[in-house]
Amino acid sequence: MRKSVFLLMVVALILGSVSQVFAGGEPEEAGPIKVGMYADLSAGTAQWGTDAEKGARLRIKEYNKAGGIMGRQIELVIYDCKQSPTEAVKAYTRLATQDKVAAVYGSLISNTALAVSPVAAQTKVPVVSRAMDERATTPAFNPDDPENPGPANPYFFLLQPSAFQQAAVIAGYAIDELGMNTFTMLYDKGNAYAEYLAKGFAYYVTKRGKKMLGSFEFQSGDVDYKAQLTKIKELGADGLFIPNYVAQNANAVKQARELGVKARFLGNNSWYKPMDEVAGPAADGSYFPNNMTFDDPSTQWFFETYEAEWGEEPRLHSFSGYDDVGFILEAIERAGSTDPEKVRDAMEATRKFEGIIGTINIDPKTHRPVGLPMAVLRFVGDQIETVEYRYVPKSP
Amino acid sequence: MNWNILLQQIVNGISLGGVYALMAVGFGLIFNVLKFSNFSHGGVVTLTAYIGFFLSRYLVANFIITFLLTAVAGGLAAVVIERLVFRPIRRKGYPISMLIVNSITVAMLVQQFFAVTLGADYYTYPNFIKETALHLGNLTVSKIYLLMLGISAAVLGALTYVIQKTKIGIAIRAVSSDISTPSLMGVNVDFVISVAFFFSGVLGGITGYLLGMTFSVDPFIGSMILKGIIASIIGGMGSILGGVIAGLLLGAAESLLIGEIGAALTPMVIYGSIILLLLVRPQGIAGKITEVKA
Repeated sequence: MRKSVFLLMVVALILGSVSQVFAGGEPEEAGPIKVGMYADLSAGTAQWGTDAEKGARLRIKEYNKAGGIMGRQIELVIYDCKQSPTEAVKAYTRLATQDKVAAVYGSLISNTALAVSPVAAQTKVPVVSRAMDERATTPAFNPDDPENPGPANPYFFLLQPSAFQQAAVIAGYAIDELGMNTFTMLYDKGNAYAEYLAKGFAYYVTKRGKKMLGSFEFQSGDVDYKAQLTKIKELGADGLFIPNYVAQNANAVKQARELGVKARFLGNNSWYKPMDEVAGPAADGSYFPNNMTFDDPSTQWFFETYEAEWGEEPRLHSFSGYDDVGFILEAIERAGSTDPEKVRDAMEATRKFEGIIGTINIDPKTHRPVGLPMAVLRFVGDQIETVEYRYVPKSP
Repeated sequence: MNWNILLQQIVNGISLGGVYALMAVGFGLIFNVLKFSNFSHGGVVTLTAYIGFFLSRYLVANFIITFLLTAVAGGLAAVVIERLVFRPIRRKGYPISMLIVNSITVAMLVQQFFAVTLGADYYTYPNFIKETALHLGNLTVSKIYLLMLGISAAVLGALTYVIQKTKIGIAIRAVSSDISTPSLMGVNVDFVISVAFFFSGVLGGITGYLLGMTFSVDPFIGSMILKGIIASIIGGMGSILGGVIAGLLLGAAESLLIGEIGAALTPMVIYGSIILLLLVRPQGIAGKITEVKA
């Protein structure tokens, strides 16, 4: 009796391994297509990560309903990177080496991207992200010489205008549409996002033959900028560029108003809601760029679709998640393969990808979108109003 | 540099200096009594900045009522902190360094608590005072800063009176100079210490409210306490007048330096000067050298 049980087990084992060998011949074509995602699902920027995940899942659901890609369903494998560069690298490595995903959708913020970018270059599974910091896509980027960004990281892609591109949008608008000639700026020296926007702004203004009359910094923890603003008032420029986070922007605007600074304020994409509540009427007359505006008629269908799916209104990064995963899936479709190398090639060749936020053309030299428009908005009292749905600077 | 800007920078600096002075005195009060650097004062500032926000946003949008409630809340918070984390250590006769460590921990705990629970959002007080300014010739003085300066002056004046003239003030001074002898004379030392913490907390509450009302509230607003500590050290730990003078001086110096050499170099110059000052005059501007009793 015992012997026969043993024999049966041996037979079963052999049969098992044989069937595994046969199955091993076609691992790529079987089962769902895996797309990876690491996002901030907890910590300070959790709202952004959660919104992006919902947008991503909606897009994947739509693809699956329509029959998937190459007859296969799509599966999202997602890990929380908690806004931490170390966690992001761990999550990316796990997605690329264990889960064997075709491509990865990276978290929305720049410092995780800066950590993952060199790892992706070695692991060779492509990442798409919203990291505005130029160094994520072109590692050798030098803000003092933006015309020569150096080679792109072959495995890293940006799907929104970079810091320098965003600075050019608002500077271009100020010069061409508002007729401004002289500028000053006030920014947080300890924040790479603010610093890159400021450098991009000064670069563009100078390139267009206009004048930067002064550039003033503050430290990340500072809340009182009256000393800098007193100097700024004295310089009397047409425009004052304030490209920081919401609370800092609001403090700067209020204090500038009190001191009687005459310049028109120009902002960054942190001037959208809730800046209207935090700054109030002090922001009156200011202009700033944003990735999109919610009153754009061409985006209204998404509000309905998204609300039907999740029972809540979409926020900015709900759109991001939907667009960015759409970009990945379209690249897989065009590649006709889930091989990360082929998907990467398809991403690099992406022209006219129609996202809700805008049409994306990837520049193969920088892996950043070319000519992606931004909305331009302005404050009227404490209300935000759209002046341009899609604006591209007249001179690059 | 023209005289207008110079004067304007001094005005800017002095009004913020008023808040530094408030912090310096709140911090110095405890240093005087227990001879340790009470970093938890920053925690009280953060806590009350949020309390002031919630009171004025959801309870009653009245400046005076919410201001007073917040000040009292700050006082109570400081008393509770003393009872929970300082008194047990003091009773057991552990070294003063333990008190310092605990005070830092409390400050970090408060900061982290708000970072986790409320850190993702922005909190602004209702607009009690319009962002308007008084214009005196070429000089612009913001009303809200003027109010900050006025309140600081009134509160510090009141505190000086209490410390100098009242019975409890005399008791606080007695305990400051020697913590054990007064108890032999029937002074309830624990009670006196609680009162000192209450006063210090009230100052913290007022600071938190003023900072929260002027700037928007975030978990790190209490880290401004560092400026208060510096002012307190320059002023001669624990001297009210010294703290006030140093606070105003620090504010003005900061403002002038930021205008001239920029925000990055300013802290280096200020910290460097403080080291020099203390080498030359270790008792600070107005203080006597305090003996730290182990």
